[in-house]
Amino acid sequence: MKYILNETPVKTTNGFMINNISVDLDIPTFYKLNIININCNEMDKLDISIDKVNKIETSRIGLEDTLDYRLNIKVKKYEELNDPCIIEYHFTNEANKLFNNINIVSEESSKAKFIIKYVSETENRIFNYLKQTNVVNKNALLDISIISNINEESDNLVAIENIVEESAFINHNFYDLKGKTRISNYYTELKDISSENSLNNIYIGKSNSIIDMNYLTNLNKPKNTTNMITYGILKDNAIKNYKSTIDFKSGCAKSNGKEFENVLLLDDTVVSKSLPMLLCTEEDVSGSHSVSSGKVDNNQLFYLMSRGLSKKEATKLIIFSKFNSLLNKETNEELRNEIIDLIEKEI
Amino acid sequence: MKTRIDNVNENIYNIKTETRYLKKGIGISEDVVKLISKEKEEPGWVLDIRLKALKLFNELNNPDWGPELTELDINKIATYIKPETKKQMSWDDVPEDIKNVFDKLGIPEAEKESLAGVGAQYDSEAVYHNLSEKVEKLGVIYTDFDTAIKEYPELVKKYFTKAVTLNDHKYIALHYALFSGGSFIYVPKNVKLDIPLQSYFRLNAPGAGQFEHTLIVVDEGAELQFIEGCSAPGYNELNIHAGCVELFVEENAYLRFSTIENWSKNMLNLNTKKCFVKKNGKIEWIMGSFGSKVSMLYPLSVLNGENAKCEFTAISFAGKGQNLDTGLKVIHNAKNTSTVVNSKSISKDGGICTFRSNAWVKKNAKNSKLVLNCESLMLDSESRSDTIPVNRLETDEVTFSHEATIGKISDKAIFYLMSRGLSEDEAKALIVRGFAEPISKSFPVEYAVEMNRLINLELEGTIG
Repeated sequence: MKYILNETPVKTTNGFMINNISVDLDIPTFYKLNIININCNEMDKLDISIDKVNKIETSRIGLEDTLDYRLNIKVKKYEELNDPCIIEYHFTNEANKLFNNINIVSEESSKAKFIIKYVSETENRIFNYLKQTNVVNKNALLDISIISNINEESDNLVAIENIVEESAFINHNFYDLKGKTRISNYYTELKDISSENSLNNIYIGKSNSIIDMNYLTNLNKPKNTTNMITYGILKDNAIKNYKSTIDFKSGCAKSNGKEFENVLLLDDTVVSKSLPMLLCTEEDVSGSHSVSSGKVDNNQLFYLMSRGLSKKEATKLIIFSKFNSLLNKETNEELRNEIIDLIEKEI
Repeated sequence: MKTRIDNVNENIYNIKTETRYLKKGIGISEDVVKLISKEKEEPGWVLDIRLKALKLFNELNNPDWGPELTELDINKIATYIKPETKKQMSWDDVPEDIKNVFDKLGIPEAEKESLAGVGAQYDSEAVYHNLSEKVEKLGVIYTDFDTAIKEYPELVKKYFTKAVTLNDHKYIALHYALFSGGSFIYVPKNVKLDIPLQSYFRLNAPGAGQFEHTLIVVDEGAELQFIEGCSAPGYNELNIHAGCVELFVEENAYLRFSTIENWSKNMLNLNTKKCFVKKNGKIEWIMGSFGSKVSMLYPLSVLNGENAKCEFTAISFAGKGQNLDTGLKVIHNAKNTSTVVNSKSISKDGGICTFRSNAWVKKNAKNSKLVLNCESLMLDSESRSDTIPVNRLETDEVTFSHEATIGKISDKAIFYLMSRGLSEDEAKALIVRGFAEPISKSFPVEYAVEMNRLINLELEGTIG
């Protein structure tokens, strides 16, 4: 069935076909909650529950929820998790469809890191739809890494919604490494003074994959800060739409916002589209966006090859030189090394 | 002592004269379209285009993005106003009241001092067109568009509607149904004009529309600088400008197209501009947008030849009640093509500035380079400033960068200037002028002066 998804907050000219994405998806119906593994050494610092959501909602990605269960995780007031809490799902031949609705609330002055990880142990087509809502209370810090490492034939949809309160901070590291149709929607409401968010995103597009990213941060109050940084590579007929919006609302004086995308185009079969928007109704702010694209620099390649590296090794090194600024922001070393291995395999 | 912002209405652009006309068409219908065509004694093929466009206008919808246009009721607009004069080749023959308007705008003076030719349009028709003898001898054609259809039909047929097609959007269909006036320029091969030509479009009547068509062909190895000026006095009724500019830059040719737009603040400015550039050709757009209630203007450059280049330099200044939605479009369709964009906008008193850029690099545009820069300055928190760029790259052999910044006047800069004896208002005004300076420097000197005058007018009563 055809779906029109990921509408941008402001429409622009239709000729570039970027205001939304039209995709064919076979969305399964779910009757029961999928079992997700949660590994955490400090369960006493969390409240975990599953509840039934009475009202069926549509996420900002544009899809109606197909399951009305939600996994709720609360990080208790003033608690700090020393180790990350890992939420993991392994797709198998039998279990290759997943709808997961994960709601995290970080209570006042808490600090936690979550790793949400999807691994595929099957070559069958996978359907994964993650709906992730987060509320970060006053002075809390919430750090979430999401790794999508499902197979090339899969559909992967990620819808993230954040509400960030006074002096709180939420960080998302999103590693979108594999899949056929990949649609991600990231939305953050910075609703109090000094609230802050950041999004660090790495994507790899290849083998006819379609990647549609739609990111939005609304800055509402004084001294809000947002940083949305994306690095990616494209090859083998991949198509990518990058849509990112920073909206400085009236009243967000002394706020800062930055959005950035850098994409390396590894061959001429790809299509790379971008729409980085800055919307502003507040005078006293500082906002910037930049998008840069191009192929691997020949001078850099030549230099590295003259030092004995093969073209493939040199290219890999150049790609990592781009990705490293984001990989270094991954606070969990084990996960960082795992991501590096996965990226190496992909490129 | 501060000048009130209302004083802008007393400036030279706001000269009002009584509207006297020979013929008038209201709204859009087959009768109006046929009236215009009959008055101009046009050949049948032109009327066919008009009627086809009329059908398209009725079929097409308003754009579903950008500023709201629903307040426009085209059937209340005087879409054709033929003034009580013919086109003249001497200012002495132009009726006194019309000549007076252009005198105050400084057009005859500029012609004497720094222009190779001038065209002046008043409402729907050209009232004056002249080209210096020296330039005419080089084979340059510079005439109003009606004359071009009659005297150079083959040239016009070759290019007319070829850059901007009838079905591009609703308001270009409106244009082709009602077009009247405008300029036609042909610069022969290897002729290099170092003195600019200028066309000035003045819409005098209240509740009226202007639909001039400008077609410029710069043949192989030729060079031209063209300046387009437009203004209108302010009224309470809505006016519309849906002009069209078609430009053809042939191999090794160069065209600099400068516009200073200062329509009155009751104007919907829905203008369409497009340029085809061939091998080694270069188009330079220099644009200053100050007037109009709503503007939607995005000149498109299609770089069709190897090494073709586009430079786009623009400034927009939106004040109270204005919504200026401007920017550019570029298509890279050949090897080694390049685009450089430098755009600035200033919003104040609730004005809205939106910058849109659409850049499309096609698969065959190997080794293309695009550098796009956009800076926005907000002078208060009632205003709005949006940056909406779209890019589509279909080749890996491209160097592309887009950067945009948004911000306010630096407190440190104000503090520094105040420590040197300036008042806070003077300091702010100086910084705004400095912000605009890189753009105003791109205009020919006389027009840079005009642009600075416009900026000063906009600043008066607020921070000037």
